[in-house]
Amino acid sequence: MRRLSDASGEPVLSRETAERVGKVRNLVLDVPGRRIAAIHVDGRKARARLVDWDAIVGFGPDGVIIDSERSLRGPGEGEELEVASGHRGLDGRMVLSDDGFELGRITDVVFDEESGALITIVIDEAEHPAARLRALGPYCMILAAGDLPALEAPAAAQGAAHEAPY
Amino acid sequence: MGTLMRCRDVSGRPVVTLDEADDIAEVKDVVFDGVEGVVVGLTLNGRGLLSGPLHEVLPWSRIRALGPDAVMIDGKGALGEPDEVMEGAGADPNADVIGARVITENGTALGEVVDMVIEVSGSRAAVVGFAMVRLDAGRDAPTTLIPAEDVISVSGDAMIVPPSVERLVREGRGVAS
Repeated sequence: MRRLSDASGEPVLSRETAERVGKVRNLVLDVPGRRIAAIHVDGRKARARLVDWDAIVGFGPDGVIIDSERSLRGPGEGEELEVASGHRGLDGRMVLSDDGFELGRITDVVFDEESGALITIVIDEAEHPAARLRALGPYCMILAAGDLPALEAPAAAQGAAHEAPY
Repeated sequence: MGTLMRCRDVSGRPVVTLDEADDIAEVKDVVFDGVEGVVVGLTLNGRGLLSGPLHEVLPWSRIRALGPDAVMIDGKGALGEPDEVMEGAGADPNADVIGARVITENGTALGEVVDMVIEVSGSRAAVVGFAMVRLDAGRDAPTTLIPAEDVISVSGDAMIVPPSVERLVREGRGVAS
């Protein structure tokens, strides 16, 4: 199990040449698959270079080994380009529940370094199972409310009832 | 009993798509059917300082959740043309009840509607009351709440109430902050 905060900055090395090709800068998520799709390793915006999770040979405590530098590719459109532009990294992005409550901001992501599967999304101090991940977009991340602790629901409902004068 | 909300509090909430997690609009006004007393949808503004009102509206039936921090919809396709969804329900999104004159059926003007209280339960939202301020008071003055069942008729021009409401207003009953 690894945390993005801990893996961030780790060197990315080519297995073929043993050369350093970049470092772990950010993650691109596969939302329906609830796993890491790619890692942003170098450059910014259109010049960014990413590596697909499938090209990773080993994700160790001291470095990420990819099969070869040829696996590096440019960013796709949308979310990938946003991540590669640096201003919509996962860190700090707002999280809403699918019933319209703001849960907080993403502070970390925990994943399995063998499979790339997401395990938990850390929102402020609270860990939420990645199984609840429903969407990720320009505005926010959305988690299924399910049996999430209703952080504000009772208070908000009371507040509304209280405001109304009968 | 469902959740009570003041429409003024709903205005400005972002409208967020569940498929792309994008904020495609924000709530402008709540549109209701003055005859049935139910909310039929929301009018919308674009997001950002420079955006104005959107032509499209959001029918109530297509809202997945009306949370305190966002209105959740499935996707962009949930928005619709105003005439297909609103006028069919007998509501005119251009007739704003906010600012309508409150007048008794005797013809005595009591005040002005400043807000509406809705009760959301399940997939239905009913109008339960209207907040008004007296004519001689400022907009920030305490409001009087007129229960929806006391309202005889309402339009963008006026709200007609029975004379008994005049007493309620004068005695300051039903006054909320």
